[in-house]
Amino acid sequence: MKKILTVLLISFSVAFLLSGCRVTTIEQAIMAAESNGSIPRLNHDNTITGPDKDNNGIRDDIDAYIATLPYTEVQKKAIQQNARALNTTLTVDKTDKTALTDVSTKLVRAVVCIHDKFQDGTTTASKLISENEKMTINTKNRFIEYEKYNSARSGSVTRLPDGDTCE
Amino acid sequence: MSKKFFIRIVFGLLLTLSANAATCSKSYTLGFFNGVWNTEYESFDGTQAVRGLIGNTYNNEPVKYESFYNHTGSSVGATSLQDLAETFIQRANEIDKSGQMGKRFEYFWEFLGSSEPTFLDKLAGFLPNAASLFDSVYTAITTKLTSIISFFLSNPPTEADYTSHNARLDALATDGEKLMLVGHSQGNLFMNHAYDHILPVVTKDRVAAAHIAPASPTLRGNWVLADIDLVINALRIQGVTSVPNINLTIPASKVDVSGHTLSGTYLDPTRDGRGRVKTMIETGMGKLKNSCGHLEYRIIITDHDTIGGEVYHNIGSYLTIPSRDEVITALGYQDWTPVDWDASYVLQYHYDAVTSKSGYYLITNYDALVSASYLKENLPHGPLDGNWYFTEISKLYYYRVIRYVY
Repeated sequence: MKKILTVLLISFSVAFLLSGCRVTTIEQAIMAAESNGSIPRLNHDNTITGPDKDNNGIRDDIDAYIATLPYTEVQKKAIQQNARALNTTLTVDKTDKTALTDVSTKLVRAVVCIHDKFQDGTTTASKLISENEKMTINTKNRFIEYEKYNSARSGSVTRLPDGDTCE
Repeated sequence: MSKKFFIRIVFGLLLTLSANAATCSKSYTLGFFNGVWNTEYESFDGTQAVRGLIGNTYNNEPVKYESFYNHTGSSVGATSLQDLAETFIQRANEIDKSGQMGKRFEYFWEFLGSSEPTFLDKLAGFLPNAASLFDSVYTAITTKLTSIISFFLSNPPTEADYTSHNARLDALATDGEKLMLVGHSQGNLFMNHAYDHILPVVTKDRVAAAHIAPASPTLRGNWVLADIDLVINALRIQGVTSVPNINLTIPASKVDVSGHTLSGTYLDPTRDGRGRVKTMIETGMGKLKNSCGHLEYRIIITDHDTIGGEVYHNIGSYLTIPSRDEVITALGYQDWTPVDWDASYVLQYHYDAVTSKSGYYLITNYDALVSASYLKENLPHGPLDGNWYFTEISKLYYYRVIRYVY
């Protein structure tokens, strides 16, 4: 059923664009941008983690998006490490302090790794980090779960690791 | 004793297991304090961005970086970020009756300024009147951000919010670290408290502060505030006169419409903020001195109260005690009771010389403490109004005893 609805939505969007109609609403603009690929079509289902068919710890739509980025394989691996680490904040038991610390360690290592791989004198690493957060935490359900993690970590102190933190 | 006169007292000891060893640490720790709506992920990124600015060495000494994370709420039962998300949903649903935008939280992060508005820019390419529609959401978010800061200024964090930060600072001070504290936005409120907590321990020789976009009524060091910072400058417009003066003029950018984010505005390599922040932090670090020598202990007054309207003892005044044994003799450690981290008292780290156990304790034997002759005779005191009052040790003060390296 979901597939049918998606096909219908895409068909309507394409038909809308081909018809030459002016875009007059935000909804139409979203459909048009997602249809022509200028904005990635992200998963917005009600689940916390979303689909991960290859079971690599990264949501499939984000996996596909990372593959399109114009970076080296080493850099893409750093981006994937961030995507995986951020996903674990959604699934970790928020009452298990040891587990929370483990997730936080993964997160900080991913951050240090991506900065290490994008030492280009710009803020590219920070932009990729915020983009990862924006695309992963992209529904209210996921946001609520993410907030539980951040609240559980409030008051913590974390030292940035040294050396190679990439996986 | 009536409640009016007996409020509460906690005497604390911070004694380390290696009290006999002289320490001579030659390194810096830079502590970064994030804004309260930041996620831990963003806080790590901010700390790492500051690391990229300063580097892993300064004056040929190592610099370590630590994220002092806080994510406290701005209303009952909700975090600041949740409040902002609700504002986003409301406004998004107003400009998009279909509800599609409000369901897509990627736009929330863009309106918040946590992420570049790349998706919004794409939408604007399809929708002629997008700018005016989006402006209303930007304005609502900025207004909410400002109200959250106002809330925090009038409802500052509690001691419970600071507990683990304080403990970490104590440990770093004990290790002889030179402490460079950097705050961004509301993180400056937490940083100010951290600075005030550790200053009596290490003096200005070993701690300095730097404020980025300070949302704090008072400052502990130099600051950088941009003219395009809509959030902080909105506080001034609202009548919060304690906001510091603008001292950075930079062009606006679509990358960060709020002009307030750390990476998007203040560390943006294409504008002047980055250089100013770097200079500010390095100036602070340049004032710090190494701490080598033998150890001593200080009893430090960390809070005060009044009896009949009179104020006793200045916060930060201290008494130096030459050895740990004398501290223990003076205070009487025999009635220490372990307490929970979340207790509302001021807790201090204590090493029990008899049991060789360490941890956080609450002293319950007030009478033993009050009768400690060493304290009675030697504790410096002084009122906040410049006059001197009597020296009797009362039950109305908080003390810390810490190992001090000099």
